[in-house]
Amino acid sequence: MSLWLRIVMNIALAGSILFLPWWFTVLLATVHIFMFQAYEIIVWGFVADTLYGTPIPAYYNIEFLFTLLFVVLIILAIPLKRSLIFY
Amino acid sequence: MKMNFHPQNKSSKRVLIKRIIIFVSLALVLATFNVTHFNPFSGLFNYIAEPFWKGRQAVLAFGVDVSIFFRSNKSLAGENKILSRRIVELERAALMEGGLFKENEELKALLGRDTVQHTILAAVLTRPFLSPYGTFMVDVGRDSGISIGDRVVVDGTFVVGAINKVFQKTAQVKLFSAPGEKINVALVPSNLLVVAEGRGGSNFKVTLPRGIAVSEGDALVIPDINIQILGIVEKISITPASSFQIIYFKSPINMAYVKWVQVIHAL
Repeated sequence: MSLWLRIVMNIALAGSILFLPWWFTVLLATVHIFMFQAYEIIVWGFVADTLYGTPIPAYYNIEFLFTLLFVVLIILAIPLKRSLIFY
Repeated sequence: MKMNFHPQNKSSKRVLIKRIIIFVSLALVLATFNVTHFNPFSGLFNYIAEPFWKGRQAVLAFGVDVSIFFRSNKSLAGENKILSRRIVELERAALMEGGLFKENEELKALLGRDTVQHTILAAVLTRPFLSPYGTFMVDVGRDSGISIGDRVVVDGTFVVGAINKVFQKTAQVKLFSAPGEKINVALVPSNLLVVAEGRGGSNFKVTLPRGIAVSEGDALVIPDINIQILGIVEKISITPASSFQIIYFKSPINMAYVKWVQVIHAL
């Protein structure tokens, strides 16, 4: 059951990257990382950056914003999940 | 005897070191792609995504066709009346503008300037709100002859961006209003050349000395033989302490609703 749910979440992430606003993708990735030990969101972040990324002066010409954001999310989620009573 | 060594400490240390190595390697790979502006996966991912984007367009078009059956006759008749009135107004405006435009072209031709542009019609596959980068995809690519730097306009007059990346059948357009992007524009009617800075979401700003006369409603155009409007002045911000004024202007084009663009290909 949880494997199927994880697959569904990955498909939803892929669909969000292709069709939905970027903030929804980030929200979905956040939910995904808290539901599972989902390191694959880094791959999805890389996919999003490869499709849409370009150097933007306001973002210090970094083309991999999604990837970096999702890495930070994972780093923050690991200790947070340990301290949350829910887990 | 006190046990200082616990087997679990060694394995969790190993896991941590492994993770650090993976993250650092990933960072190095991304940094290389970023600095060289070369990503070997971009063509592949675009090739995979393209059918989904085109499929979405087809589904939306079908949805619009089907939705017509669910609208009442009364609402359709009302909308028809409003649109017919609007068409008459626009036809009148177009006649006048057409005459002025023709006169403009004839004068340019008399002075020996060729104003013919090679434009390629392109469908918009994605919207800029899919990412924070201010980019969108169009369905023309290398096989249509477009190249990096070609300008992208809407309705032939309103310039929105330029081709940023080209793939075989698609291309990425970067909006001039992407945050921090700078572009040289001319302020109409004074024809003053200024630098506009993108603020995202079709918004721009220009910083000028206070003495320069600017009004709301003035246009900013790309300095070119053909008229290409970038935006219209919406607000002028002047603070007493500053010797500068900040002009906020916005493109009249909302990219969320645009279906077709023209790519002006430099010959």
